[in-house]
Amino acid sequence: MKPPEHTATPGNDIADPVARPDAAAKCAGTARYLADLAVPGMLHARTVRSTRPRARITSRRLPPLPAGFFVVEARDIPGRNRIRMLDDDWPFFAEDIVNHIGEPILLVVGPEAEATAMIASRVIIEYEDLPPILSLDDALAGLAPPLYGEDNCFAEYSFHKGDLPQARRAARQMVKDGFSTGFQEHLYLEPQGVLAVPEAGRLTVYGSMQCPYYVKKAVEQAVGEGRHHVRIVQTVTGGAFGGKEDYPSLLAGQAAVAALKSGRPVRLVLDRTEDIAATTKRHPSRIDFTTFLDENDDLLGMDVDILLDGGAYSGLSSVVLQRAMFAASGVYRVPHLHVHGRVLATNQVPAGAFRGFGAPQAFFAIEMHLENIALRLGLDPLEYKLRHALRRGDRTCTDGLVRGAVRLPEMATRLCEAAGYPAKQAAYTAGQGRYRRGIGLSLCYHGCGFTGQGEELIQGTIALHKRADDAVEIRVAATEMGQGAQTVLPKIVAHSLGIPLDQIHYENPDTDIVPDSGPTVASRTTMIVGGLLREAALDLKRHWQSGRVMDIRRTYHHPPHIHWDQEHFRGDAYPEYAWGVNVVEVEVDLLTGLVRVIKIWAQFDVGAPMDERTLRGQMEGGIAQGLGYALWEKLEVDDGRVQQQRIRDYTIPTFMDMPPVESGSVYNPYEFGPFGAKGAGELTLVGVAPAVAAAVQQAIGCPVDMIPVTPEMILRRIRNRKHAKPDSEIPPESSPRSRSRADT
Amino acid sequence: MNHFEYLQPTDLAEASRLLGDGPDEAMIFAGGTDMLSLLKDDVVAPRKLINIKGIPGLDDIRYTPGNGLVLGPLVTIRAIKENPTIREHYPVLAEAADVLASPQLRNLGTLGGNLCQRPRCWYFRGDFDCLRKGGATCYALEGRNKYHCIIGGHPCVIVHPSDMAVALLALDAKVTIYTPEETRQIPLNEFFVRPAEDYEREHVLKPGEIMSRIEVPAPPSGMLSGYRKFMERAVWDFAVVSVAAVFTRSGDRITGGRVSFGGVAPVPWQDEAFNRKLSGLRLTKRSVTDACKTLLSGAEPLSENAFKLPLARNLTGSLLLELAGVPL
Ligand SMILES: Cc1cc2nc3c(=O)[nH]c(=O)nc-3n(C[C@H](O)[C@H](O)[C@H](O)COP(=O)(O)OP(=O)(O)OC[C@H]3O[C@@H](n4cnc5c(N)ncnc54)[C@H](O)[C@@H]3O)c2cc1C
Ligand code: SF4
Repeated sequence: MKPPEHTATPGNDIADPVARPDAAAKCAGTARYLADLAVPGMLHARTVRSTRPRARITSRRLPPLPAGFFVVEARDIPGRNRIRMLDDDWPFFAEDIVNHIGEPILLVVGPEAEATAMIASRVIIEYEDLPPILSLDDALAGLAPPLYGEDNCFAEYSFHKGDLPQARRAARQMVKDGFSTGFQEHLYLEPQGVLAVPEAGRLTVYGSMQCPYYVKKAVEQAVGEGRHHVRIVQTVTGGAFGGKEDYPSLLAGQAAVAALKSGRPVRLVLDRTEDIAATTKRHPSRIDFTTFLDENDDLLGMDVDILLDGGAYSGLSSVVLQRAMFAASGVYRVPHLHVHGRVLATNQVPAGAFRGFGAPQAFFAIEMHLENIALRLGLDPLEYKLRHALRRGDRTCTDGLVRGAVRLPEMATRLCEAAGYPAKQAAYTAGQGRYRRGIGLSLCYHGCGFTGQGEELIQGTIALHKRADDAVEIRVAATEMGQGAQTVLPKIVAHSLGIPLDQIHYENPDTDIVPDSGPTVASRTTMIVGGLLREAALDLKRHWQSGRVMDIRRTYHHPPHIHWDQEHFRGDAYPEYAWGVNVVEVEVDLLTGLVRVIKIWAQFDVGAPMDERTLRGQMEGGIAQGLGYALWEKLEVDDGRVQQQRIRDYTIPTFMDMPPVESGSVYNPYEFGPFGAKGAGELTLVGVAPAVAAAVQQAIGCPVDMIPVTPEMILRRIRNRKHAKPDSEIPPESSPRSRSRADT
Repeated sequence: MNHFEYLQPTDLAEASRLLGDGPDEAMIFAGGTDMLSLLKDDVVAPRKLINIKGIPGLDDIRYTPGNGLVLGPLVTIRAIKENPTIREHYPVLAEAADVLASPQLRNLGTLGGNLCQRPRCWYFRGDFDCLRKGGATCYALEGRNKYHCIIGGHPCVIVHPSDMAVALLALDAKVTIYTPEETRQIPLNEFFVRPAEDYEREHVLKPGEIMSRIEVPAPPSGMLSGYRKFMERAVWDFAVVSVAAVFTRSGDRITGGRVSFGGVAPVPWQDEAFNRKLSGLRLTKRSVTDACKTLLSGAEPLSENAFKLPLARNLTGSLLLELAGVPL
């Protein structure tokens, strides 16, 4: 028997919002996060960390350990002391060398959390300091011995399009620009944590994470391939933003080894200070452009140089760099292009995945650059940008084909109308008085799914399991971390099957049950995993037999038209793109440098929304996080040590700081996405900072070439301006530091 | 965080006795908003916490025309913010309460605790063994010092975090200190300790002493007052720079008054020279702006906080002009 064609329950339109299945427990406080879990006989682990940026460990002195307490360190690892990631440089525990402050050296494990912490604080590590690389400048100067390889470079790539030397010769004008950004901390509300439980021949690790199968592989490598059956279960995850893509692998490996050593469950939960000091951050960047314009002032060629600070271990840096590079020329048609990128190693906290994954840095830079070119030419930035924006049938920076319709022009035009952009853009340039207004605009895209060959390598596999009671279980490794996967994926399946939503079950993934559908990253969950689920659901529907147990699996392959040459970075870097436009209006108080964001207008093309309210959550959340990146969030690492160690020192915007946001989406379905959906998770953050920065730049009449744009930076810029107003004079800094450009 | 005994005395004498030899032995716990984070961050580790909220009479607000205002140390920030008499006669105090922390913290935080709170320097609160915690160096001097002081800061460059203190200083308040032997009263500006005198403490209270009252003189008729606080976010933030102004005028001239600052020095700060010049100052944009150009002229900004000087000057100028109703 087939299911009825249409049932009323899920609503006619998949975009109609439904109640989030995870909301009630989270609001009521009954959701159990990792730190809420306790199992009989459980031990607590506390990490002893490096206090030196780069040093050789000369001795480890332990205080007397009471019965039941023990330590776990590199030599206890039965497998390999390397976290399995793209590369092979990152150890679970430092061996004889430490490479950043906060790097784990050993765990103290014992039956009481407090005593464990006390003992850990009494462990004495002695070091012989080695010459550290404490900043990008240090790394460029190359005075200290390399940290990675021979050139201290985690990754270096370049790619070409057209013939840049020829463009250089033909050009009428050349414009140079440079931009920089700093670290950004995820500041998810739930700090990282795992619980490893050993049973005969088996090892289960529970944890707050995005990527259960990454964790599984890391744990298998730590405990020795094939020696134990490793099972990973995601627990309720209180935010992640990319920060739980890489680091849980390290924690899980450590806890697993501790659990094997003791034969008892071991829980390892970071406190906030540890989490800020030791887990990965967004890569600081420096991006320089040399751009060539033709006789019509059009973009002829562009030479982009990207430098990222990768911190102490390579982690995911090489792919972050690739995404940054593929965003370097923005949404624009640049006939002749050369992009060069490097990630350098420094003795700082490792940089890793963070919502946007390299794209926010690149879009901040390219959008400001285009803004600057337009202003220099005396043209309206909106017009100039749209004149060069990619259209369907154009070639991307890597010579891929833009297959879908590009609705940027109408999105931007409509948004700018709503915001009054053209009139304000013209009027605000000549602002007067203490409070100055400015308006800024950005266009961006986000490649949905893995960068380059990622999807083909991973080949995500999903399963649907139909039970005898005709309920359907979604079996994917995708995790709910607040973004709404548990809302959206069941809707896709319910709508495809035409059965009520409450007949669909989707639990937090358990690797004993779910196949490897890939990590929950890269704006791929709805489009790629959801797409597979839709295909499987349609298949299930065709063969539906009521009362029978049925199983269906599907594995992802790119649609046949997607081609990618990983060696030369040529072809379709992403299967599809989501697009965004942001307009931001600000008011700057020239007496104090304070920026007040008056309003944000945003339009996104995410193909088709799978749930309007969930999308709104992504839009407003992404915008808030982007605002923080643009205006407040400053994480400084001096002499290898993170300076802002607590939430109170690391200023993310509060609700009181949120301006009114008018956001929406256009319908532009992607043929291979479920119900036309593309990705939406990262896009919403990517374009905020350049729009804010452009608005501030206009308001103060001074260049803004770095974020966050803080009041002190604004006051300083005003001072440096030639015609400074006498009552906003600011004396020179007494002892300027020259750590990195992000300081000045 | 260490273990501690939690005690609830019901009179000042008992509380004072329980306080014993000083902070290693016992500390006062009022609203706890600062105390709890000091404990959790292991900045302090007293063996006992003395909750003084059970002592009657310490949360009174009394105003007598001609005599002024008397506040108990347990008066909450919220009570100050919402008190109509304070709003009417001492706008500067109510306005300082308005922009202090957040609603939750204002509900719990007390005036006494606010004046006695410890510095927010992130090295002090973090795991840095700095001068103020008995170590050998001030990390802020060479480190991140955007939020630190620009004046009066040797050898420790904290700023005093209290908003209430700045407003009360401009109002020329006095504090009463309970000791078992005698109860003494001192001007608020003598309550705070500069680092040059002792960099391990922020106020003069000795072991066993308790702040038991805050008195504010009656406002002269026609007194104008206000508080402006520059913070980076709309809520939760301590002052980057704040200014309190209290003055009287006759025609377009100031006849007397006082300006005080938060966020610029290790103690709530007054520029005596500027305050002397206030009397007679013409309330025009030109003369106020000119006068403000010399404000805090002894300032020696650190590497990252030179912006605080124009910020303080600009805030002061605009506050005086706003209070006087002169268009900016
Ligand atoms: C996130 C955050 C933001 C904040 N923002 C601001 C701000 O913007 N402006 C501002 O001014 N403050 C701010 N504060 C500080 C807050 O106002 C103070 O923590 C609060 O006022 C302290 O009062 P309490 O009663 O909670 O003091 P407690 O925490 O109980 O005590 C604080 C200190 O004072 C001592 N103490 C308390 N009462 C007495 C007494 N009667 N005699 C002697 N010693 C005493 C205690 O021993 C302790 O050392 C903020 C605090 C936080 C946590
Ligand atoms: S400013 Fe004071 S509290 Fe801060 S690090 Fe220096 S000595 Fe310590």
